[in-house]
Amino acid sequence: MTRLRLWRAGLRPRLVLWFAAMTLVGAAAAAGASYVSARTTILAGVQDPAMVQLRDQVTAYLPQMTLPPDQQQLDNLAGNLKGVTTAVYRQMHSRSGLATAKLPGELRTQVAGGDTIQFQRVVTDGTPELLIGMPVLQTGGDGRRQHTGVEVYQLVSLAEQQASIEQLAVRAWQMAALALPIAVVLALVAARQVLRPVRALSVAARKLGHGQLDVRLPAKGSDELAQLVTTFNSTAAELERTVGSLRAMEADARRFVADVSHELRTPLAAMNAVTDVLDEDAGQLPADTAIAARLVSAETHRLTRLVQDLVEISRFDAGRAELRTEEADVAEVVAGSLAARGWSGTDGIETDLPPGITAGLDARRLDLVVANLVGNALRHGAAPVGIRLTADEEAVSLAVTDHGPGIPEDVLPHVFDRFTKADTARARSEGSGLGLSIARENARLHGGDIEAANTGTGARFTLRLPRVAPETR
Amino acid sequence: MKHTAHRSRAVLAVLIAVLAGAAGCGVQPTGVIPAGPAPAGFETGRRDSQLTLYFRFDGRLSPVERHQAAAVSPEAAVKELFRGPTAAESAKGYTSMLPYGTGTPSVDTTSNPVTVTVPYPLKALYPGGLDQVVCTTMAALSASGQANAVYGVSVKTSDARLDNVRCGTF
Repeated sequence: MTRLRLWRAGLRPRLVLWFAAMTLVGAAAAAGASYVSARTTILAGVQDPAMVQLRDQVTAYLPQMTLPPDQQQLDNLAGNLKGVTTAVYRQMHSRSGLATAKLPGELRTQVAGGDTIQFQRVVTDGTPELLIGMPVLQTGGDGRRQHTGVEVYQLVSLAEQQASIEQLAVRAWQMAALALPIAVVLALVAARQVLRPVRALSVAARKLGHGQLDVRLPAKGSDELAQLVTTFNSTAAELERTVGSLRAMEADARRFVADVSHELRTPLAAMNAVTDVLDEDAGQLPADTAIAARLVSAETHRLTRLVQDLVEISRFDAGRAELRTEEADVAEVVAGSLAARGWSGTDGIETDLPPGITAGLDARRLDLVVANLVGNALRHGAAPVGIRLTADEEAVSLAVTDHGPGIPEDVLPHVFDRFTKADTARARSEGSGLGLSIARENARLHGGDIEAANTGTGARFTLRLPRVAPETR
Repeated sequence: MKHTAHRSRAVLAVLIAVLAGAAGCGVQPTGVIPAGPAPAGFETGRRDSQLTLYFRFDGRLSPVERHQAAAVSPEAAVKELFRGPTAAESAKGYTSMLPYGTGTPSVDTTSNPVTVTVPYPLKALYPGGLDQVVCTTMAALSASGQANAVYGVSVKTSDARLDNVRCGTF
């Protein structure tokens, strides 16, 4: 049904329809023109000889006649003429042959009043008939021709001509009917010729849309379609070049960040050692100096976490993140992760972790994700924080739901972007701004994903992991 | 969509026009149409001096008119017919299918019907020549004013007699 509708909406049926219409119009025009001219020829081929013959016969007989003619003369004249004829003089007419009642009044008037042969076609009971009427003239002493009052009429049946003309029409329709299927076949061939490159272009454009930027089409010929193909190819090439350079630039930028992060680790390690000592000795320092020392220490820790996160995410970007999967009970891993952070019911954590749900996963990475999601929920949302584990045939889902203000609608699409801050007022949060990004990268490394949504009474992050993780990339 | 509808309507109109044109088939009746000059033959004023002889023209019986000073008599007309077409008439294409010879035909206008006596066997006249003789006689009778009561003529050949032969001019 849908295929039929698609077919009907396509170019092919329109082409076929137009071809068929063109053929019909052409055939009808050609057949009509030849029909009209053939009809004229056929009718003239009967009418003209009939009139000439009748005139010759009348002319040949005229010397036999005297004026005014009597009944016998009229009978002789009519009897001497071939075909269905009658001779008329005033109120008299020949006794045999054509009945004068059959003659139309207008023809009688024209013949009686004029000096030329007149003819008229009439249709009697569906049979066309030709009526010829002619006055008999006399030449006066001065050479002028006058009506003698004698009129001769003849009836010629055109039934045979009508039959052959009707046959002509039938032939014309038959030819048009024969031409129609040929036109349809031609239209299908033409549609195929046009549609094949169009379909190839459509497939290629779809591939291009799916990111296969190296797709090209062979450009054959020099018609409009070939030009279109050439344009498509150059567009694809330009797109590939642009995207390639953008990717190269992005890769450069990420490599730079990775390098910087890496270079920062060594001085940070030294700074951490110093700040640890400062923290220990802070109690013995003057109050102002102690505050400063603690501030330096806190910021150094923050910087260290940021650099760690940067190094981590650089690994993902570089494709160097490794997945070490093993079959594990998901509930155990999650519970372990919560216990390791010291989160329990007293913090407002409500868990629903049915045991026995196993999946192939990297326990360290799942721990990072759980810690991030629950940490976020506690920090930005509000208790109680629900942790609910469910599973189906293919995947396990871990939903972390808080009861805070939720995520602003305008931030929701970007919540997993790097350095996205839900609350702009709190410019310096405790997090690095990379936590959710790293969590999602971890989920994707497993072949799963994380989705964020608002429940109306808070935010919900749903981690979805396939039960069988893909092989380590 | 709107354009498509317009186009479909245009196609429909063309198809209807084609069908309507095709429907005007067959032989249509006409009004009265004039065509060519009517036959003319009578010349008023000199009827009795107008001699009409029937010869063959293009295989058909065709009248030739000659003017003479004297009044037309049937016997003189038949005698003239047997002499054949003149040089000018031959040049135009008139021929005679009658035999040439010494015999003299005669016409008895007193008998009823009028009797034409021809001194040749019927085989020499039939059929083309017989028409010429009968038609010429009838035309001469008509011109001389003796035709009204006559229905055909009798032809007497050397070996047969045909009664009430009429002029068949075709």
